[in-house]
Amino acid sequence: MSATTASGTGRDAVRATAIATERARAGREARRSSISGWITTVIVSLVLLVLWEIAADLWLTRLGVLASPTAIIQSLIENPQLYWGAVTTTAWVAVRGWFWGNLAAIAVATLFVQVPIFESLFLRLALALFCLPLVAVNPLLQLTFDPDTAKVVLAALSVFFTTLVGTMLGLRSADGGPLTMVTAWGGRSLSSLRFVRLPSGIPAMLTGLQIGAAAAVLGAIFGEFIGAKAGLGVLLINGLMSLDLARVWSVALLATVMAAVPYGIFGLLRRWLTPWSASISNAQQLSAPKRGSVAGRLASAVAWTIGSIVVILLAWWAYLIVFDVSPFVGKSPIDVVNYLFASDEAAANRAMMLDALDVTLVHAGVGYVAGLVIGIAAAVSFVTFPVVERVLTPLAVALRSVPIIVLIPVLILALGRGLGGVVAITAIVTFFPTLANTQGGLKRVPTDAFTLMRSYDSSTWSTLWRLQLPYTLPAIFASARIAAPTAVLAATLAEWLATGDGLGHVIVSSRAHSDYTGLWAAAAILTAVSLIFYSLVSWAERVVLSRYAPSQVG
Amino acid sequence: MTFRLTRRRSIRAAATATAFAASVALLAGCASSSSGDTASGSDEPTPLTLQTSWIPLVQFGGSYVADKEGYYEKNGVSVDILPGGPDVDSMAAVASGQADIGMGNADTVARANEQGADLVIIAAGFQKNPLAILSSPDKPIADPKAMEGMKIGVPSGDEAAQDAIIAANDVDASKVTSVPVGFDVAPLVSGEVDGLWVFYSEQPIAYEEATGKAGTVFLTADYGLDVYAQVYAVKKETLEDADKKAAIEGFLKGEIEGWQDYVADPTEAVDLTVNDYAKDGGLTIEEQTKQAELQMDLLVTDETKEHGLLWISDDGIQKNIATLESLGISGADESLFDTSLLEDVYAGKNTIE
Repeated sequence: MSATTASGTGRDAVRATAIATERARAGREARRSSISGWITTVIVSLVLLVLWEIAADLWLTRLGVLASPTAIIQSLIENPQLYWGAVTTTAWVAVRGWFWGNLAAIAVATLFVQVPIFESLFLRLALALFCLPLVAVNPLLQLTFDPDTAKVVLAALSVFFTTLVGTMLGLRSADGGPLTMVTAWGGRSLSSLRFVRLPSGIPAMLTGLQIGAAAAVLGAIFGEFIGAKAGLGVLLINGLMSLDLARVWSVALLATVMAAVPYGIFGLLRRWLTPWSASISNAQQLSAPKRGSVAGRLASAVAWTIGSIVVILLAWWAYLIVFDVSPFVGKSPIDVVNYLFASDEAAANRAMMLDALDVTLVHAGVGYVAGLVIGIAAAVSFVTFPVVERVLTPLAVALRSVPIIVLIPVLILALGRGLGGVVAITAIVTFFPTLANTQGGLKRVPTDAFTLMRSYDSSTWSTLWRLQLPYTLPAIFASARIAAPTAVLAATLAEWLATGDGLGHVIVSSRAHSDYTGLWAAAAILTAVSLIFYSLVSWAERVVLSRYAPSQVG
Repeated sequence: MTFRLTRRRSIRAAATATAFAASVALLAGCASSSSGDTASGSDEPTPLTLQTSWIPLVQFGGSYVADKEGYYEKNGVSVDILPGGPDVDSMAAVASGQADIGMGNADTVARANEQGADLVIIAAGFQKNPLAILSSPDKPIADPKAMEGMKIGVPSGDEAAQDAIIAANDVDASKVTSVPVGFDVAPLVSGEVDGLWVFYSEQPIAYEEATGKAGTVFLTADYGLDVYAQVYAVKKETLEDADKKAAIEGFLKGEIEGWQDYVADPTEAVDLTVNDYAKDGGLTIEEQTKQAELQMDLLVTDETKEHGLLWISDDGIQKNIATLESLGISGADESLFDTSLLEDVYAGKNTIE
């Protein structure tokens, strides 16, 4: 007995040593591979920088579209005070907008998840705010608030919706098991919120805060287009006017850094604060599919839709009354209805709007698909190949935080003003939230599921296809929902700056001609279209998720 | 509501503070001078806001001089010069009461009125419309007829101007391609377009800087787009109140004095722009000096030499109205202009001393 024990202990000791050796080896291996990964990253980045320098020096600077890295660095070194002043001015607006926008988004998301009636009534209002084109919103903000507040509000509006959708997704991703347990122990919905939903919602919230940084910087820069003496936007306008490419691209670089720093910090925070998110099993509870007559469900959907529309119209009126908006600029729903249906030119107005809408729908549709595909593909390659992630993440952040007017000349030169250019612009504006959300989703696949796949010797691609993508479906669909209105907005941006047709053009020229009724009408049509687009994607999401991830269906 | 209220309250607070400071200054003055000047309570300057149309540039240099040299104060007003920008609608700012005076082009004012605003133009900073067409000297577009067969970059919203110049000069519209552009000359430098709508005193400098050769420029004002630009517009009802009208007149007097200094020697205006009013804009003295000099062509004409800067003549009004009609703006007539303030401040002379 004692002998067996002794030999047992001996064997245990041997095994322990073997395990320790193996662990040490694996650790060294991991360190070595991570070091070689970083070396690859640095080399690839340097090669890209050199290529950029050569392309700019030989060709692109002469064409007036892109400054070289050395020209940018020189400009930054020669005017440190100028740039520092501009960065602090714009950052102060961006930080406040980011803070208030995210705070509001998280509060509203929590309210929506806890009290579904609010979601049914007010989500479309939140969406409508998000759908408003910048060209239409800017003059209104300028006339509604004092200059500083207007800029902060714009930055806040830029971050609000993405965080709202992300946070709702996170709160809903709470595991069925723990939720059932809290309920079984008599916990009420507030306890579920505190113990289950909020903790499991944190990763998605942090993703929202991450993405929001870029959006807030962009919002703050565009805010300066409504009148400013200082800031990155002012430097940008002057740089463009005098075609000082080093100035323009220095601003672009600084905007990227301002977005990238919080992006990195919140990414790390997400990794450190929420280690449990990837380790606990996400056993999903099968909720009973909703029963009830088709007619009954349809009727309630119609009722909620009508309710939301009433809420949006009331909010529209309330804005005009509460802020005492001058009737010259602020048009009521009645004015818009008259413009489209009752006035003498109603038929002509309608025809003009519908023609423009046709064009915009094509642009938005193609750009939507492109942005979504690029976003998902980028997320998959980022997760599969860490080197790609490290090299391209700064570029992805740059594409999201650099004002599109800086990129337009390069894009038009490369792709022309046809559908190619429009698709590129739309994709650039839409792909980033998709990338970030999908990447976040892919990383949250439970480790024990990975272990299982590995034990079956599953290949990288098979794991991706059979495990990671299905697991990420909720995140992908959340991105697809966010991307729907974004694509419509981005298409109008492309129409304004590149093609000169569609509703984007109608909005810009209405504004140039002080035709605020036309502007509100176009904005209302765009919002309605975006809402419908969003609902279609939501419907597809429900159908798919009820099959694959029932706990996500609220 | 709160924001509006706070804003109003802060304006009122600022006004009270200014008034308080003024009375302290007066008291101090009384105390120091033994003779004791009679201090009348109505001496405090009337606060006015001027909404400019773009971010701070020497384009508004005369206003900066007037502000800095105390020409506004001297005429009983204190002026808050608000920066503009690409998304600022100065006419909407005036129509909605956010600003007292707005700067813009005569056609912008007429379009605002067409849409229900009730604005009137009291003075014209730029006698000539600065909208010009810039092209490469290798493929010059020296007049509208030369636009045929060319690709022209038109800023969104200016299509009506392009249509008008095509119609007025017998150009075959089917032979002109228009594409939307922003406010940089990159599309022309890269060769993507052959011609570009620009601001006469700004982008041509950038083009020369970027390509090393002066571009070919023609002013659309010389080919039928004859509207006053950088005009000063106020609400009609502002002029119906005698006190307010007096304040606006005071502003106009100070403004003209500022621009007189500018025309005599733009050095101070350039310096004020680069080092003070636009000090965070990253502008350079050289470039703003070039802009200031080009701008002289817009500010000074035979008419202003005879009647004074910012002048509005009967002949000019007729030309403006004809152009506004060609732009398709309805309802513009003589009532768009009110020359009585200019007549009052100049009182028959052509300068203000």
